[in-house]
Amino acid sequence: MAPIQASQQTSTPLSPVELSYLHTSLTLTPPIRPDSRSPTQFRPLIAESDILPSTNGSARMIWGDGGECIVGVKAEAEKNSAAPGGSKDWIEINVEVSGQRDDDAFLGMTVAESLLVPGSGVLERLVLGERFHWKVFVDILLLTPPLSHPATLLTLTTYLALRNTFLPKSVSEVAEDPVFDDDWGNALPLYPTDKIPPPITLLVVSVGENIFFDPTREELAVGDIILAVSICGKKVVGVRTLEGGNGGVGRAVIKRVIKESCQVAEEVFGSLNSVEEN
Amino acid sequence: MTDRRRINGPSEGTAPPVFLTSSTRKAITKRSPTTLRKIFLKTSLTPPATGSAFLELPTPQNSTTPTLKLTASVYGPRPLPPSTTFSPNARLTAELKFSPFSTPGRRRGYVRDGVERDLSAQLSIALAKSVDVGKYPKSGIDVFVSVLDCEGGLGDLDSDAGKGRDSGKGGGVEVGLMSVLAGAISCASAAIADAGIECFDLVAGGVAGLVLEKPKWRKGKKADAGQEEEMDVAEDGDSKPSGKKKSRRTLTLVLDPSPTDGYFIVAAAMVAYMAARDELTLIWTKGSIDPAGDGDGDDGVEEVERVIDGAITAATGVRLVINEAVKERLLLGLKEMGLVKGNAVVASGDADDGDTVMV
Repeated sequence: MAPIQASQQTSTPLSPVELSYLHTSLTLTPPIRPDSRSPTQFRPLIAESDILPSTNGSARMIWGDGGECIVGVKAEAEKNSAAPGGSKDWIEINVEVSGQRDDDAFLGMTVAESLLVPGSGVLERLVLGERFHWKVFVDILLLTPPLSHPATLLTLTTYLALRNTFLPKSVSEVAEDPVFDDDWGNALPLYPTDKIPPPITLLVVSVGENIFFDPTREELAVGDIILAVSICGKKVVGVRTLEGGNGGVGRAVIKRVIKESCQVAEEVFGSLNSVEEN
Repeated sequence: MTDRRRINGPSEGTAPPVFLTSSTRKAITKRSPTTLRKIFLKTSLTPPATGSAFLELPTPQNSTTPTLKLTASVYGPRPLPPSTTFSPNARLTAELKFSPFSTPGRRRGYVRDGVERDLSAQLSIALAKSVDVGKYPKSGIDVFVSVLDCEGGLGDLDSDAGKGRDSGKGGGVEVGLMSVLAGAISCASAAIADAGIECFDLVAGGVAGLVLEKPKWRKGKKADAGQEEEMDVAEDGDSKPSGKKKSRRTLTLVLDPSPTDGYFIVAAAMVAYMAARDELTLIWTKGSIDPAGDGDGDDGVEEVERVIDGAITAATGVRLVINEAVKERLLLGLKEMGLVKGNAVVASGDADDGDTVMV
């Protein structure tokens, strides 16, 4: 069955016959991906952290298909206000896709929702005494958008940047105006290694009985359903459906996607942490 | 020398008045966790549209209690403008708009913001997969949903509802946006059926949440309770194995949770479900769900399964209402044509939009 192309966003230069061929090869057991990767294998990428000296934390990631993303995290001490947003306003996320109008609400919403999930404990670490708090700005710059969907690239880079974010140590009493330690060596990490790490979002596409991670644009075009699964530590903190596919899928497929994502995420966390050590 | 020609404000500035939040919103949880709210759904209320529907969740308490009210109108299938490229399928666009007066407190602007764009995108995904788009080449189907009243704010990042625990809400994950989207999907699906557009199945939206049980003695100081429980959850997610005496969190599944119910919701899921085909077209979850199947829940069922199945159960309940609404309209049309006497259907196969109804 040749899948019908759903929208312009996922449309590829492939003809219906080529799409049908791709769909068939992806439904085989074991499936054959066009670039001969295994279903859970990611495309090669280059990652480096701590690249911008004027930020509290930064990271850069380049993917094989040309996608490049830079994330800078900056923090400011701010007075507590009775503003309606409450502590949810303490982290501000900006996504800038170069060459595009910034009206894709999806990317920013996904990152914000998973970062601010209740119980992640990060907002408690932003408290500075009784009257002040840190305001963290996460600026995500997608220099060259990848050919596939940028959600994975973006969140992996954000993860690296947040993992490398350090905030100056406060030396003042809780009731005083905040005063900070001059020594950067004493700065405290925003995400200590023994606490819950920042979230990542994995793009997963399901074709027939098979599940593929890090899908290319062509694989997205033939998918039955495309899910963005956000994972924080060992927990799923958000699942969203992306445009693509035709008709619905059974509930068993979705549950399986979520479970497999968690297993894959553990490997991803491991390899991302090894980036920091290098 | 002071300026006497103009009326100046006080020199040291003024403080904006701070209003106490009204106590009318403080709802008492009367529903059992597995009971859905009653739904009022009626189709064909907007004459110029090809199909339309109105959905309302009645609240039994009093008329001032905010509730969910939304209308959906469907235009099409109509030809695409000549400037667009050839499309072998119908293009379904959905637009969800909050009325300026829909949220309590702050007014919403007319310009679409990020939340509305995001919900519109999700709505169009949920609907496009249920419509047989291959039957309508070169045409466009436009769905407009307008939210007239969304109960107790949305809990989105830039609304005034994020005040959290001190405003009489339970804290945790906000489900306001989810129930709005679920309502919009159900309402729009009824409107699509009303428009006589061929679908694979009617799609219904359902929400379910995992709620943290509150110890009774702590109920008085809700704020403190919320704080501590959050810490519990945080500990739970720690990667290193913590102390032996770790209290397992007990989570109750609540179907169709309302933001005014005052639950502390740990995780919530919204699904768009096609009941006759047993298929999902959209899933959206918030909050941390533990996927490890080590019997975390009450009955040993994993949290992912519980919350998704719960949302599906809620959607199945909503589906019955959509069925009735579509059937009611259909029977009315048949009666007008003289094909139906009383309630009995004489001939239904060759009716105009008879094939959209699946029971």
